[in-house]
Amino acid sequence: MTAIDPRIAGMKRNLERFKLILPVMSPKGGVGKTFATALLAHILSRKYECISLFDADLTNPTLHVVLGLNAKNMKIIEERGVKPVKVNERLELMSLALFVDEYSIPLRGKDVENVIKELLAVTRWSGRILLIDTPPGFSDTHLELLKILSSVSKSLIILVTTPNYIALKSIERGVKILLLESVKLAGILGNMCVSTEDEFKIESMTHRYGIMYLGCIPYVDRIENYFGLNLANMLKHVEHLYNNIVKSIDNFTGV
Amino acid sequence: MHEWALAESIILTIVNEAKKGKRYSFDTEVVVGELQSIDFETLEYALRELKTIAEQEHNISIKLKISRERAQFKCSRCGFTWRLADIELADDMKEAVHFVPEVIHSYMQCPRCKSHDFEIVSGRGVYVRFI
Repeated sequence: MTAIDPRIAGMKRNLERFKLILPVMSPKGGVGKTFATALLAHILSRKYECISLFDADLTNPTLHVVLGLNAKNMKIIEERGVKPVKVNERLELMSLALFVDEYSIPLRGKDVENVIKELLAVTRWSGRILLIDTPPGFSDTHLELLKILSSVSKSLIILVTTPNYIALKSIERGVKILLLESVKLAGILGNMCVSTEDEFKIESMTHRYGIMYLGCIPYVDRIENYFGLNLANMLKHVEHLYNNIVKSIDNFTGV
Repeated sequence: MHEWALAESIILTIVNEAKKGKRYSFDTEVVVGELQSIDFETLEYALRELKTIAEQEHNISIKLKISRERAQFKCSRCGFTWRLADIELADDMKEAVHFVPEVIHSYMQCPRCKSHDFEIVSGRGVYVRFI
């Protein structure tokens, strides 16, 4: 007798609806992946109809906070599966915060794998582009996502770094291992740059590896002031990112 | 219903097996873990409906048996083992665990050492056995 996990088939069916899947990754914590993911969703929603977001930072999901949602007000809606939470007319989110509110979720490797499979197997998305916010590092969550995404072959990783020396060293390590596996990269997005010198540090690193430099999100004081509806106010500061990101996506999708 | 999504995945798994192995007849057991508190009636109904459609569309025959598996836990810190029946969960917690069984780690502690670090030994969710 052989036992088969039925979620694998469900997951594949649900992910096949996406034209593109964009995991946002960084080996280093604190570089602003979650903020960058939320901002990217707003940027991409200008061109694409509906953007889906998946918070894969399972033990400490916070993407909903940046998007201005209160976990207490997020309701589970069942409809032949579970519907993502509507952030606005063009953005939707699936997060473990929907199920645990303000609790922390202590998970070991096998549990991480199970949660990812479970959520991706039951979520009924309506978007055509999926952005995935990941935790820092290169561990169970990333490995599981890379495994799942290799079977749908529509993914393009966005790496995020700050100009900080340690963050740049960390991102170089990540780039090396991803390139060895021939994983497709959309490019590297800088965050918290305060000068052109900062931007140059990141850009020159991308050139060393032949990766696209997507631009940099400038450093902002009191970032929480830009959460929720105020994220739209940030868009005018990152106008330059729009063209680079859309160009990278269009190159990949052949538009 | 969430049960519909599970039933769809189960039938899709069988159809995929049929396509892969060029098999036409399937004797299967759907094992449902206690932890996920699946509504048996809804799951059975959904499986029956979807099975009929799959049999007609793919010219296959599917026999389905549904069985339950008790949930058991083992503490990774002190080694204590216990069952779901040994603890009490509030309704909202049960609902969350129904969708994602692993969130039990937020709501349940080892009855002996109070650790949240435990293993779900059995009865987690749904899987399919081909007989």
